[in-house]
Amino acid sequence: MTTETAAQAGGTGAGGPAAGQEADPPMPLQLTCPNCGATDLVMEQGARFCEACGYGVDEPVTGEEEPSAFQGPKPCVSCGGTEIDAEGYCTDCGDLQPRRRDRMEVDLGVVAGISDRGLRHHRNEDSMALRPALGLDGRNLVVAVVCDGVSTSERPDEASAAAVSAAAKLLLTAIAAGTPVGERMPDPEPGPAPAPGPVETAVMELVLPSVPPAGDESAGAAEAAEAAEAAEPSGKAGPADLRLISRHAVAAADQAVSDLARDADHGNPPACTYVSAVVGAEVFVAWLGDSRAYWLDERGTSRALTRDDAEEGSHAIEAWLGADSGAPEPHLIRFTPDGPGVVLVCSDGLWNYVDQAADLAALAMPGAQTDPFGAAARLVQKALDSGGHDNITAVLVPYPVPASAEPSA
Amino acid sequence: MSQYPDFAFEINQNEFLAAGAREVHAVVTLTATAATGGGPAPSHGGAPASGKDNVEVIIIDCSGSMDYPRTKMMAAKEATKVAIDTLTDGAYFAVVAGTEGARVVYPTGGHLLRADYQSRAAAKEAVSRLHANGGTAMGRWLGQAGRIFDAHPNAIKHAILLTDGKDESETPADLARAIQASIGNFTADCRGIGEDWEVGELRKIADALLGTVGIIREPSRLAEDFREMTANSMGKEVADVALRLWAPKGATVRYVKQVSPNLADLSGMRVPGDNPLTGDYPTGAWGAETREYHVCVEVEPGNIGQEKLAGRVQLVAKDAAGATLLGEGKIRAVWTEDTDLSTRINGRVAHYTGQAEMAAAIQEGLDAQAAGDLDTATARLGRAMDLAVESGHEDTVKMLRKVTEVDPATSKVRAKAKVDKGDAMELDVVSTKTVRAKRN
Repeated sequence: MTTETAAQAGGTGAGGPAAGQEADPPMPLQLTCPNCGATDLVMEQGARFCEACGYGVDEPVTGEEEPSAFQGPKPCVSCGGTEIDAEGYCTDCGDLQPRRRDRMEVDLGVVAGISDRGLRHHRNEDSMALRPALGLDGRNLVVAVVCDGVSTSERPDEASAAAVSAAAKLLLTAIAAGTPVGERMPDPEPGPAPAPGPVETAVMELVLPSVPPAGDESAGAAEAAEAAEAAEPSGKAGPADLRLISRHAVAAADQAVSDLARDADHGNPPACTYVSAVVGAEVFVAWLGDSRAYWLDERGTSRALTRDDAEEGSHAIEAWLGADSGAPEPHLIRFTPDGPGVVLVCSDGLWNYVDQAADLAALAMPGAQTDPFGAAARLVQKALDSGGHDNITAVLVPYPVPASAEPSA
Repeated sequence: MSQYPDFAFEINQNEFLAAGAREVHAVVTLTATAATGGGPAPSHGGAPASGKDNVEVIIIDCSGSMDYPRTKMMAAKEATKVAIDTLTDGAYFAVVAGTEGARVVYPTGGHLLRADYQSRAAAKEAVSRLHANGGTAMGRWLGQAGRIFDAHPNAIKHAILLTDGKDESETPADLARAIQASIGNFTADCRGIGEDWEVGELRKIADALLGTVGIIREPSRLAEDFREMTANSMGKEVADVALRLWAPKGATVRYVKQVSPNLADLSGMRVPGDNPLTGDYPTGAWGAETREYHVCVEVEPGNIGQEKLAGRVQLVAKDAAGATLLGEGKIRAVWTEDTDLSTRINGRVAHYTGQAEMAAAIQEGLDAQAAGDLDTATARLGRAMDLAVESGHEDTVKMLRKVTEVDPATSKVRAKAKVDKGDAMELDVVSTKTVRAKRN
């Protein structure tokens, strides 16, 4: 286990290479275009569109997108039949094809996720958003966000979809733009960590919600990002402050979900949980509610990175996003892996069946590092085979994140 | 403007199935409204329907028994003349005298004439000269009708068949072959007069040729019945309509039954449809009318939450162009753990399931009664009485009362040991008539 201290990790931000990355020679970060399937999409500074089809590559991918013309008609999920009628029934076996939200699948190579309706719920109220991004320092970062709509609230599926999109968009934009030097969050003061202290380890650090810029919670990061983008040529912006932007992403998601509230919601405005991971040399996790992030490896050091905002064994969450959330302060964790592994971001539909990090690792590893999509499929299938009582979402980010061909920093 | 009637399509079902359940039931209600904007079947003097040719062949039993009593032959002649007068102007028609052979008594020139003042008068004159002398070979009668219809392949073709006896001048196999050869060529309504004919025999013909069976106990009632049948036939606007049923791969179509206005099992009449997963069930000719069909498909059970298309029902007119789609509807299956949903029985499905059970109970009860098995007869007829009362089937209740009595010891319905043959025949005939389901 690495001896790097929390202070050291925090001090270098997204800078210096981590132990795991030094072990692997830098590889060009090859992306699969989510639209046309082109696999030679090399992430470059300022590249915003796929060279092959012109698809905007700075948009988060959720799996809910319209299938593009490049992807042929999907075969029947039940029998493989190739003809689906206008109403969505297979003309061979008659099975109604799942709605797009029923099974969302995203495989971007460097990150992959699956969100499934499960077997008992009539709709999928989970959402995910993922995408790699290139920081100002030329380092690749991967963003993964999972939200789980609160079933007792109105339109929970819309809540989670709005939350993941708003949060991921903010994270991706802010990573690309960098953070102006003067606006970095100060490192947390060393001292007794207040509850909730998630896991006692040298490489995990509870990031205190210190110095929240009061008043401009939601708009701050976007403005900062825009300002940074404009200021970037003059060299005043540095690599994004992941702690700062993670907090702002939660605020943006909270605002997006709050905006869905209507008078007719009978006191139950749309609401959802939140968990995001920004994976670079370090892993920054932010969460509210009982959606989780895990670190999985083959060295026996797999662990949960989050601690639920809920009573032990209960699904009554104590913090969420939405109009009645009370603008909650998210939990923030910085984690520095000491070797290869994967970050799993998931909803309770998965961990209800497999709770222990070691058990999740046994299902996902070692394949998850080279084929995160295949591993996500195994995890989701495990939950389905165990009963699939809830919606299931699993996003996997292999670590270390491959470096760009020619780091520009 | 369509040459075909407008069809309203309605499907009633409970699509929710318990885990592992395979049987999907649905009642398909089809209501045709005349393309020309007319109401119910036009009566005598109505305009020819939408340019279609109608051909009517009236087959009159002229076996020797028709003179015993003489009122039968007299009534048959009178009724045939009424039918001729009921024909729409311009309809083609023929009259066949049925014995051990089948003689075309009108027209005698070898080809059909359209109904007008002159042809009607000549036909009625020929009918007046009919006399009873000979046997009964209904297969040959149907064969003769078939040859007459052959000259008008695209017309709406209908036969009326009247008999007073059993098919005794040929073998059952002869009759079966003749029925088989007539299927798809023309439709036929069959009537038995008196009590010496076999309900089962006429039902075989009528079921295969998509028509009805009726009993005429009072010769004086025959003319009105002929008028109704002819008017109904003249009101048809489209000749050859099929229910086309698609069922998913691996599914089994358990049955397709017409359940209103009368019961008729179409399952055995399936012919291949437009692809390997479809089959066509003939429904004959349509005018302005409502009919209902009960479809049962057995499918592979899906997972909880899965929705499957268990059947797609289309109504197609088979014509020179091949097939014209007149309407369609879906039969769905959704598997659920919610027993409140899956145990609910659709009212219309339940109603017609009851009507079919009632018909079976009556026929089994009458067979047992005729065979002297009064215990079985009591059980089956008692069940039929319950179902008839439950569904408000008053005619059937009345007729059931004639073959049953109340046991003074138990105050329960029991089968009579001895029943009037005509009463039993009448009940048998009426057993397949259904009452319409009330709106859900």
